[in-house]
Amino acid sequence: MNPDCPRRPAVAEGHPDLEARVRAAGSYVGPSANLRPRTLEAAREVRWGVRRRRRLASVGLAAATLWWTATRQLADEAAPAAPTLAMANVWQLGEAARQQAAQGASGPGWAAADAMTQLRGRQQELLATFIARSPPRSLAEGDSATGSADKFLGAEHR
Amino acid sequence: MMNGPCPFEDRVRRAAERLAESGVAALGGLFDLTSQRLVRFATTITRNQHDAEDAVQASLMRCAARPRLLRDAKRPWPYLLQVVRNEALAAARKQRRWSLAAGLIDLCTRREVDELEQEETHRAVWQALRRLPVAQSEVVVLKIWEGLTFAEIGEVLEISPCTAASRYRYGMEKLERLLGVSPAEARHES
Repeated sequence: MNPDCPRRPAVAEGHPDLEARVRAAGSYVGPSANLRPRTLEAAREVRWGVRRRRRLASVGLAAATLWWTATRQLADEAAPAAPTLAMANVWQLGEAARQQAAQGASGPGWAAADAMTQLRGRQQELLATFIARSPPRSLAEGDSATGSADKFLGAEHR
Repeated sequence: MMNGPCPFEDRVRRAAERLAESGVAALGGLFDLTSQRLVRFATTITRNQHDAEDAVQASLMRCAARPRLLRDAKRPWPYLLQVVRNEALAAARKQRRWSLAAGLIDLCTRREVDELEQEETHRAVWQALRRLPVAQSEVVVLKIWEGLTFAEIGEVLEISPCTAASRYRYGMEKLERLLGVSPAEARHES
C-alpha cells in the first residue's frame, strides 16, 4: 500500500532499475562556473541598491523637514501679528497696569483702570467682528449669543 | 504523512539561519549547498540551462533580500524548491524560443573520470526526461533526485499526493518506453 496515497498502489516499487538509472544521472547536469559569482554579485548590488535608496529617502526626509520648518518660521515672521485678545486674567491686567505705572504716566490705580479700559475696548472690537461674521440664523437655532461669543473669544484667545 | 527532516534539509535550514543572521555574506554557503540540485530541478521545467540558472539566481536573490521568509518556513528546502519552481515556470512562459527537447548542447554537464562509460546512459536519461511533460518530469525529479514523498511533492507543486503519484507512474512508464531503446539508437537520436 502506498502510504502517501492509500487509494493507489505503491508506484515506486515498480521501476527499481529505472529509478537507479535516473538517480545516477542526477549529478550529470550542474550549474555553470559563472553562476556563483553572478548570483553573489547581483545579490550584493541589490543590497547596495536598497541601502542607497534608504539613504536617499532619509536625506530627502531630512531636507523636507528642514525646508518645512524654515518656510514656516519665515511665514510666521513675515505675517502681521494676528489680532489677539489679551486674556482677561488678573496677572495680565496687573502686568499691563504695572507697565503703565512704570512709564510714569499715572499712579497704579489709574494704570489698572486704563488697562481694564483698553482690554474692554479690544473685546468690543472682536465682538463686533464676531457679530458681523456670524449668520443671523444662529439665534433662531437656539444658540445663545453670549455662548457663541464666548467660544469666539476663546478661539481668538487661543 | 510527512517524514522527519533529512540531514540535507537540516543543512539547508542552518544555511537559511546564517543567511538571516549575516545577510548576503552567507549567500555563498546556501548557493554551494543547493545550486546543483536547484539547477537540475529548474532545468526540467525550463528545458534549457540558461533559463534554469536565471531562475535559480532570481530565487536565491529573493531569499537574500528577504531571508526571514526562508528561515521561518516550516521546511526551508521544499519552500526553496517551490520558489525556484515559480521562477522557472515564469521563465519558461517568457522564453518560448528555446525548444531543445532533443539535444543537450545547452546543458552544463559534468563527467567524473570513473563515469565516462556511463555518460551515454546519463545523456539518454536527460533526453528522456526532456521528452516528458513538465508536470510528470518535475514529479519524477522531486521523487528520485530529491527523495521527497508524494505528500511533500504535493506541497511543493500544490497538488494532491494522489495526483503526484499518478503523474509519477505515468512519467515512469513513459521513461521506461523512452529508455528502452538501445544506446546506438539513442546516439543516433541525439
